Amino acid sequence: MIRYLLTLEWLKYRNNGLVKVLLLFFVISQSFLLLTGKKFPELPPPLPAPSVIFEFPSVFVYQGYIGNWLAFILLGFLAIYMTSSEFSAKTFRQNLITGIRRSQMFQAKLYTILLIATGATLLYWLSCLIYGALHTPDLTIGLVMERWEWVPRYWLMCFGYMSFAWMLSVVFRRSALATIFYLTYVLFLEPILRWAVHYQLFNHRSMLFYPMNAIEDLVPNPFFEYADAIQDKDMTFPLFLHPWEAVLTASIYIAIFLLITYQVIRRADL
Amino acid sequence: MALDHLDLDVDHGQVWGILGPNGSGKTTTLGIILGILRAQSGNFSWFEGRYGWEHRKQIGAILETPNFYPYLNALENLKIIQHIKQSYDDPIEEYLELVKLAHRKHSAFRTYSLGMKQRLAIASTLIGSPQVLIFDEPTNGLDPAGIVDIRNTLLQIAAMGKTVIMASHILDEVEKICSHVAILMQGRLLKAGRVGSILTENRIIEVACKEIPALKQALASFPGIINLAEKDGLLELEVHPGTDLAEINRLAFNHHLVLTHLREKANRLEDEFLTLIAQNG
Repeated sequence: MIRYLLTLEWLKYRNNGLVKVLLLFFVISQSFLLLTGKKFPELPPPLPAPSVIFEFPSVFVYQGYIGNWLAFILLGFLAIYMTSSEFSAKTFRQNLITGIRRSQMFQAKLYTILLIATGATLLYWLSCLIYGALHTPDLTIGLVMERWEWVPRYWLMCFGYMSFAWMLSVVFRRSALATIFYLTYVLFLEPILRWAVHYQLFNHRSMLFYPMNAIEDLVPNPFFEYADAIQDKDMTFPLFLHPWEAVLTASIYIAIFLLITYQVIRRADL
Repeated sequence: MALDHLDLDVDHGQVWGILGPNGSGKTTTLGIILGILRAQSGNFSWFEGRYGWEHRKQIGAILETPNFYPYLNALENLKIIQHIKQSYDDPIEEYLELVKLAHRKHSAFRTYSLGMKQRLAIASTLIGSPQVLIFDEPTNGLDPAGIVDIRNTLLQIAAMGKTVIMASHILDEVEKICSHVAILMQGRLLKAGRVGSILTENRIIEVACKEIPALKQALASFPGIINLAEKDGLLELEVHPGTDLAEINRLAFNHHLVLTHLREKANRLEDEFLTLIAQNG
């Protein structure tokens, strides 16, 4: 069944220009964007020397931070496009008429998203290994393995962004609407809710448990290590979720997103 | 409410036309039996439940517009249909020949004209040799030549012995293609049965001469006449389908009446359909 549904999606998208461009852009950016770090100037303490960007174990952090943006924008949009285009071309409806079941339609997209997240993670892992191996002065297995858990967390982050984007695409059906809401929510709406509303009302770390913040904190930005030095003095709690809190919180939200997506696909008049 | 107590049985090998004005519930009916719309109540069954959930693979259907992946060509689109139906040995090239698309099989669907899109949709319904074919307004929006093309294709398909359900608001189309007809009006079933039993095939002939009363008297004895009425200085005769118009002319001439007008009224069925709709509206 998995193979049948993945083949179906493959037949749909193997000749799709937009899907190819998005994936290609992701692969190139995730592989080579880190090289811009070669041009970084020395920064004042507590910030580290630019050379750590390429070294084990911190290469996982910097590659992950790049991947965080790329997954949010490129993979998120890919997830929106792959479903909303089926609504706009009415091919979702035609697939059903032809003989696909609604639950299969859900599974087909789910497996595709899982596959893309897995592919992205493999690329992340391999590129980290290559950069690290080429740049770390005293290479040991211990150093290579020190941040191993960033790899599964990266996977969960990709899956999280895509499942949120996918849910928006079945709710809004139009890719433009879903994309605008997706970008607005992640970049503005949730930060405003967290900082201007939640934080002002309750100076409490519950403000960290919003869905996109949790997904973002799976692979936090490189400053998380220096958060204590740079964060607001009034803040009575750390700026980032503990990794395992992020994993648990993100997993719960992902389950909710998938449940909503499934229910919409199951009930929608097409 | 779009549909109200619609009750219909379709047997194997019949070619059904679902006839009704726009908005009468044709597409809604087909949408419900195809599982893309949800009825508030009621039920339907396919093939007496033999195939369970897989029944849709025994049906080839197009609903309203032809829906394909715009960036894929005809062959790639049909391959997707094949994959869904898990039917990999269809003579796709033959189907494309049948609908006259073989020469454009490598062009992207988005470059097709409406007629070509409709024809590709018809070809796609044949994949997997389904027992039942459903066409919703297959000639909608086409030019006259396109309409003739589609009708000829549909006649060929009907001749293959498949069960066909075709929705249309064009009566002429149903009359030419279908063996059975169901007439819908505001979601209600007005009539259903064989085309001949629902829509009479009798012909209406208009005749006139200088002495209408004498002509009226003369024609009263004409065999095959069913009804005779005077209208706007003309006589309207309802006659059996096999009537020869020359016989009417000869009869009049034998009575020393010279006809100034002898004409078969076109769209007899259209009139009757409109009357039926008007009576129930």
